[in-house]
Amino acid sequence: MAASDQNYRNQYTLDIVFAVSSTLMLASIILMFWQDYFREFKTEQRSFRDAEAGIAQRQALQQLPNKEEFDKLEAAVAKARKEQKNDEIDAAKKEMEAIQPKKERADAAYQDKKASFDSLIAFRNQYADEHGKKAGDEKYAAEIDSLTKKLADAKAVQDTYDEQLKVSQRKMSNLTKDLTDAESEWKRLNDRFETQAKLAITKKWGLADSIRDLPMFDFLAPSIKIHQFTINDVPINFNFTYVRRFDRCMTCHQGIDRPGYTKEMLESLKNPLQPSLRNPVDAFWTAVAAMSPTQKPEEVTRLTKAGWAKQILGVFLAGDWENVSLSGLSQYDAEAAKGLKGRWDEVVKVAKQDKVGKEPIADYLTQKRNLLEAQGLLEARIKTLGPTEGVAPRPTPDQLAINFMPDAALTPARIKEFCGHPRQDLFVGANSKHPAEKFGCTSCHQGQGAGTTFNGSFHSPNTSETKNAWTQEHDFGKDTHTYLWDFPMLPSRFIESSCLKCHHQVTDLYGPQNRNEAPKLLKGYHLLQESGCYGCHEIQGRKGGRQVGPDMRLESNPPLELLTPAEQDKIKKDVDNAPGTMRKVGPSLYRIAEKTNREWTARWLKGPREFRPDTKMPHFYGLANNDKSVLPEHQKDFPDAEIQAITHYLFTASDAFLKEIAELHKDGKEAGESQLLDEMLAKPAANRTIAEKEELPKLQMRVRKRKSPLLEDLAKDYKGDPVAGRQLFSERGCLACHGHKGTEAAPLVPSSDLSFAPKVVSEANFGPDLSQLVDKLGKHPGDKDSARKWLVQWIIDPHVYSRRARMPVTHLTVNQAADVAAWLLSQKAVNLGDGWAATNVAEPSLEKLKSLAEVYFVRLLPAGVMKDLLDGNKKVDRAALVDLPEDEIKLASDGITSDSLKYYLGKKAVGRLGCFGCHDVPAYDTAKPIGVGLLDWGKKDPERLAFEDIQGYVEKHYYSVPSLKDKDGKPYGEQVKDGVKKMPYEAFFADALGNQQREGFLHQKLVEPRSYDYNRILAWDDRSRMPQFKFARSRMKDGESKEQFEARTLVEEAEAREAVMTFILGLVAEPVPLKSINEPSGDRLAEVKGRQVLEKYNCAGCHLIEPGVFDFKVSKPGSILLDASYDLASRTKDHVFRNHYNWVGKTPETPDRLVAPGVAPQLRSYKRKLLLDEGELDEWDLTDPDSAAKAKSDSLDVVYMRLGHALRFQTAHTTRKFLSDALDREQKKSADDKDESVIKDLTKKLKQQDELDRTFGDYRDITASNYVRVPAADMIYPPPAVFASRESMHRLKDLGPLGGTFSDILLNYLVAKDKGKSTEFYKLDQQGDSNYARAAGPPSLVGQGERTQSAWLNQFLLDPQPIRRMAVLRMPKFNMSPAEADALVAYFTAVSRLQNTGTSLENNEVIPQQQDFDSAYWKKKNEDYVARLKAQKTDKGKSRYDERMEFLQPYLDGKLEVGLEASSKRVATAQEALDVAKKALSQAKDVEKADKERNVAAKEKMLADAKDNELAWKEEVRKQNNGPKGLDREAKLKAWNEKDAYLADSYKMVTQICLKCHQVGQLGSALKIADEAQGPALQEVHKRIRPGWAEHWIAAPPRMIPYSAVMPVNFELGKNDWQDRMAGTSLQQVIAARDLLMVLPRIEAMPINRYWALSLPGLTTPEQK
Amino acid sequence: MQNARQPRVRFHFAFCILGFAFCISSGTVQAQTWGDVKGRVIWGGKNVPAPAKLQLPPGDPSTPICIKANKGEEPPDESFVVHQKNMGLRDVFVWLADFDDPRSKKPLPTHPKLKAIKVKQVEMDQPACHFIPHAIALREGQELVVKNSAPFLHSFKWGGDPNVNPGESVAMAPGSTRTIKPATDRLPIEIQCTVHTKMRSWMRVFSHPYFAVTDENGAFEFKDAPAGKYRLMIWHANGWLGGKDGNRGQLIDIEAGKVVNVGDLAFAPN
Repeated sequence: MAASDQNYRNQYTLDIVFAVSSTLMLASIILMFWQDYFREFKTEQRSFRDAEAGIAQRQALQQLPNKEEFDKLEAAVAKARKEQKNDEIDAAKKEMEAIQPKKERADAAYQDKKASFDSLIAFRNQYADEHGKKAGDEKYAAEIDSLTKKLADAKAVQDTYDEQLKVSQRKMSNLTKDLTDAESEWKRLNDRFETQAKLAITKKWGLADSIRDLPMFDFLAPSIKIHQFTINDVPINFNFTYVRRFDRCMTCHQGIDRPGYTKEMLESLKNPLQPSLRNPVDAFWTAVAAMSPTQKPEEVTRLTKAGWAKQILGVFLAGDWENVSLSGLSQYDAEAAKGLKGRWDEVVKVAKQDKVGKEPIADYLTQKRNLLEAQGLLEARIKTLGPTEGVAPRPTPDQLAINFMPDAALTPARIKEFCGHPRQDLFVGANSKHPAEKFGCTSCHQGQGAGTTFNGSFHSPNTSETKNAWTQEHDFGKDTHTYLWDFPMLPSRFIESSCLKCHHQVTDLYGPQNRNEAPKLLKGYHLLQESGCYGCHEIQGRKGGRQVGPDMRLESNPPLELLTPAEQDKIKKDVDNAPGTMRKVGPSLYRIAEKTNREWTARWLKGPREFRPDTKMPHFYGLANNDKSVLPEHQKDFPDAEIQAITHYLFTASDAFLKEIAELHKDGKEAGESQLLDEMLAKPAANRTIAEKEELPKLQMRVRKRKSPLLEDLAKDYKGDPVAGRQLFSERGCLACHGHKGTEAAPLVPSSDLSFAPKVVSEANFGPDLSQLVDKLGKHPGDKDSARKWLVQWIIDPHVYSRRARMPVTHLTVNQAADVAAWLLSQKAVNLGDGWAATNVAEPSLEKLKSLAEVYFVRLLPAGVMKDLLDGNKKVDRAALVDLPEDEIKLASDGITSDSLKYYLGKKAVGRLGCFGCHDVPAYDTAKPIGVGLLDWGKKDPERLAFEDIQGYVEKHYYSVPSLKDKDGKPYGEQVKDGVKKMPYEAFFADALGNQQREGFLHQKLVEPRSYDYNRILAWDDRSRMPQFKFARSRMKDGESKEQFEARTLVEEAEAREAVMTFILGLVAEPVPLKSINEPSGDRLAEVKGRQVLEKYNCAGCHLIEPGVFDFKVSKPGSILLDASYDLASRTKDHVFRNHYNWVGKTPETPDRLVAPGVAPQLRSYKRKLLLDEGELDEWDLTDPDSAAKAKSDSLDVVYMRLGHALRFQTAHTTRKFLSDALDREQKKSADDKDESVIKDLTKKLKQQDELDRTFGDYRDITASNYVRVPAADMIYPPPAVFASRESMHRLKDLGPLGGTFSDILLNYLVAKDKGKSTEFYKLDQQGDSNYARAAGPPSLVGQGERTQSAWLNQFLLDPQPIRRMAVLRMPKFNMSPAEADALVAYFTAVSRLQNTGTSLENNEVIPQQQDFDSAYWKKKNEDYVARLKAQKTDKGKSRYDERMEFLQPYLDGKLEVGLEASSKRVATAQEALDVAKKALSQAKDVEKADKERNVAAKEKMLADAKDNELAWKEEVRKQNNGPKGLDREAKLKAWNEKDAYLADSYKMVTQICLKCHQVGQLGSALKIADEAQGPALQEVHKRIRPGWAEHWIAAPPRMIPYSAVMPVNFELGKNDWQDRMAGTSLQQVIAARDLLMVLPRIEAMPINRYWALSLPGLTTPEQK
Repeated sequence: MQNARQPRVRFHFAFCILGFAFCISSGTVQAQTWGDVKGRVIWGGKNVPAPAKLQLPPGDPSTPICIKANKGEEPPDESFVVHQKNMGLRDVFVWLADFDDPRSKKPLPTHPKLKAIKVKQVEMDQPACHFIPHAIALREGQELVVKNSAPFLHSFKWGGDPNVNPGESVAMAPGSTRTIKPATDRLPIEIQCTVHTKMRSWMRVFSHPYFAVTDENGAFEFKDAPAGKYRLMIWHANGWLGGKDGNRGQLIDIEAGKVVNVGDLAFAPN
């Protein structure tokens, strides 16, 4: 084609194309920018910026200084300014100005001289280097001399001017000091406000911000950008690889690390007024604000407008807001008053139309008024200080405003998005344990951390309602891949799951001091333990050689502790295959045939909860896949047949076992075989012969079986007394683990003292509820003899029945056990109703058994052979049977009978259903758990879960509800829809099931484990096998209907189930880097490990172990209450041990937040007004209906508790205020009314307050065991909701003090039992406590680590001995391993050390007192003491030393006859007294007879004692005279001076005082004080008690236990009693008693102490008897 | 609360007005006037309790000493001390209380001559395994001096409302004394010896002088009580007169210048 000018394409077309494409490109670019500008996070950040500004404004307003204080300081500044001597200042300034140039000149001159000098020296040095040192010195000597002089002169001149300048500067600063100080004070007051105000202003979205963030500009320095944490330590699992974690959550959650960003604060950013009201209120406000200050009646003050506004508003808001009169104002400005009134009426009109209360308007106006005040303040500041101060510009009043955010911009979702993390002390914050920089967000919350959109980061709703809201707002769920992320965020209900990733010990989630940091997860953990889930589902904590989760596995068989030490060592070395530690939760079934009968067992298997509603045993039958109603016709009888088969198997196997052990006990080979076994084990395994190798396990088995004793009737000849049994059952601690309906009523009247046992309710469920026991026991139904025989044995020693039983040895005598058994068996079982009646299990026909057996055989044999075999056909093809497994061969060889079939089927079923997961079952000792391991279930791919037709099942059986309780908090119940009964089902879980999520699957698996078989045709043994558990174990409350109870149970069950789920979902087996894993060490590890043992044996069922943590903020009433508590606590004269936590509390980190270690918290109501106005603390009696009504309107709910340790707080000086107010009032009274003594008293008390301030500053310690009261609303942990009512206080079981329930139960029981007796021994005191009843119960273990010596505690735990005579029960003997006892000892020591960081408790303490008496320790003590004796004078002016010598005279001289004479005299006196008493008896009237008889008996006793004493003296005299000659006087005296004096006098004192209640060594056995009032014998103290604790205890018993002590304060501070026994101050006496107790048995036998002991009236030593 | 405070406010107000009125020699405002109250508490139960003895533990070395100190007999059981002839019940606390709020601790209007506390100290002793006296009433400001004149160790445990009188438990050496100054308490203060568990005694502390403990004839009396409507509270260690409802007291109208005799009040054990 020829060239031409013509374009290839039409230019016009091209232009059009170009135009269009450019336009399109432009459009697309704009669109791109548009989209970018409105990216989700950018919108959020812009909106957050508004919120930030709003919060800063409000925080600035909150920081407004107090007007009074401001005025005071401002006046001080003005005064200082006025008083400033300006003339003098000017003069001083001039003076300074005059000196300054002179000084500078002098400086320069000096520098000049110095430089010359330096250079000269340099020359000299150079010269010296070249010509030698001497030459150098000589050459330059003259010059140096002259220059040195000049330099000195110049320096002198410089110094003079320096000094002059300093003097004038000092003068100047003295002149200006007052002003500077006043100004800086004033500045300090204003600074916080001004900084906040400045911040508020800078946070406002300004023009510059808008430009920076404009599209195209925003790449430069945008204020809106993605915030991201890069977490290397906790990588994210992408299935194939672990990838670094990027968390961008803070891009939107910008307030997450800001403590002030609470929900309430954010909520307040919204305008409290309805739009319709805003205009009239604003108009009214403008009118108020516009009023000129000159119209104001009073003098013009700083905050004129605000002050004015406050006055006017006061009129409107204080009174009756609808009928405001402005008479006060109209006096001054009628016009303005009219205008205002008009505006206000408009407000009221609109408010009434819109039915708006007074509060929002008041809130709104108050905010406005505060703003006005703040603006006024700024204005005033500018006026005083000038517009700028330094470089930064000051905010101007106009810049400060209150901006409300529209509701649309601050949706509920945004409030949640912007608010701070609720636990910043624990998470997010840089100083918390889990800072966001280190852990990020998604390592706990999961989800896609890199996502910057709502849906892209995979949020999970917590309820279906939230989900609906999200669908509206974010199109949540509409996207198909909403659920495709493997680990979407955890819904907040399961958030605690994440803790398990790093807290593998689980109990380490109890913080130090017993704070429960993950209540739900820990509840789940306990439920898992309680239900024994690990029996079937192993939770193997290790993977790939490292710990990845908690370790919950069954212990090996035989358990580790029953093996020889060598075997144990071998096993312990293999860390990866260490044996589990969990015991099976169910009882052993080896000996079931002794305990119960087949009939009961079969029914129990069919429906355990029908028999015992709160049993842990799950249901295996009557479930979704094996209930009669869902089974096909030919299988309908299978369940019953199988149950009968299991029962038959268990009993047959048990019988065989019992027969075997009976034979083994008879065969007489016991000693021989044990020895043989030892020999065989000693041989190295390699050296054993084949025969030996085969024989060994059998031999081991036989030896082990011999250790099972035979069941005997221990109380053959004693029937048992049910009345005594009931008392024993209530008192001896059974109720700490078991409940029984029979104790919940008091059948007998209180008057018959002996038989009365009051009502006592135990909610314990560690062991089974025993109410139905009578129907269960007995080898035949109703056979009470065998039941009794078994029960007595079980009570005496449960380990005969099973060596792994957790029930301890109770230390009851055989007769007492028989009494308890008699009572238990005399109690009629509660009528169990239809449910239990329906559990009758039909005996299966042979045909049925055969058809059930076919289920198994059909897989093993051809149909024909199977038929032949089961029909018992002799022609059966034997060759086909050879390959059959063992059980089938046994069946074939036993022949087909009903029994053999049942045995076979039973054994099969036990294996299939996994009964051995919870029970020891014969032949299943080494079977492996049947369930899927749960090690990493929490991250199981949902695609690998078989959901089957579960939705169909759920739709058919349930109806969906948004939450299990309706809006009023009432639980939903059963509903009949379309003629079908349906139960409520939480929509959240229905959703999760529908979307095939893990949570949904797990939930349904726990609700109805077998429902996944719905609509599926499966073989009998292919069906899912998991039984149905119930976790909540709810109890019916008094006055609750059956329906209410069932509905409540449903909710409680759901809560418990969720707790279990929380735990399971946390099992993700993530290999978290070692440094992130919480690996407690030292004391903390001991605490964590010990807690596991405490839980295993339910120690907390009886003992109070640790006080609770009560975290609270200090409000105004709160601080008044604290001051009052301190005031009361400090009234007692106390020996104070400043290094001990019972006297000195931890200084709080911030004074407005305290942690009280509280015990026995109660909820009480106080009159608020009295509390606040007068500091008088009066309590409402809520049982009185009148005052209850009053209390409601005007009361303060208070948590009232006793302190376990001291509490330190900052005083608000309210006590001082009340005292000085009272003094003021008194002084102002007229002369007649005035009481001088009151004035004197108050003045004295005020002086004491001064003294306290001087000593302790602002801090005060409320010592342990005193009461404190904290307003319930101030509580932070446990949350205030717990204290909403007495009902809700139940939650303290998990969140409050650890343990002590039985102690409380027993207290109330004993008090009730004693009530009405002529002298009530156990009696509640005014504190609601009873010291004797407390001492009768299990002791508190608070501070136990300090109390007892480790070695003693260890042996006591393994084999407890009786200690306290007051106790009505004894510590039982648990079958605890030595390692577990060690762990407990370490726990107590660790806890004491952790809480009392000052103590240096050793595990194996060295007790200095237990050294030899010749040691320096004792010598020093004695030396000091003798010196003290010599220095001290008696009243008669004699020295104490001489006094002692007098007493010792007969002893030193060897003239014990003196003592004998006195003793004989006592005999004579006693004889006389007896004669008199006898005579009186003979003359007595009938009425008096009983009295006189008792008198005679007492006299007889006295005489006998005196005679014993005389005998003892005789013996002592005989020893002195006949025996080897004793020491001579000098030697005795020397010994006394050097060694004996201190201990001898201590002994004298201790026998004098302590003998009143304790047995002191050998002494005191003659005392017949009732046991219940007697303290523990003191002779074992040196082994049991640590000296430090003994000292604290003797000095101040009330401080050392968290309830009323029985022991009085014997050595009160400042008292000087007992000087004739032990000379010294009361504290020295305490120490002497302590020292003595540590060596008591050794010193008792000292001759000098025998001499003293004999002189005690009425006492003898058993040694002499 | 408002009500509880009224009498005092009224009282002060009255005084001011009175002063004012006196100055200008006119006015008819009525001043507070005074009257006396007396009566008796008698046994109202079915069987009159015979004098009983405490049963001391025979092995305790202090037992013979107590018996000796107590004229050769065991000390009396003082749970109910009833005069065998006139049925008077000893050791009953009787006091006046505010009409509207009987639990109030506010002082009642007090006669000028009773304003000052004349007896500053009240004594209590335990020579023979029982406290003497068995019931003690104190006015706030008075001190209780507890003695141990026995030759052996006692302990002294006392405590009332834990928020007011938390009390203490201390050992008392032979011959020692101890002084306590309890505050007005709406609860009774229990006194006991933890060494001799049968030793118990009761105390109450009031903010005004209108209280009494009945003597062996069951009689009580207080003079110069404020005229007007009040409540007469009657309490024995066994409980309130009239059972649990007795804690609101009996209404009493004291007339100026007259003696109100409430007669014999029968106390039935609760």
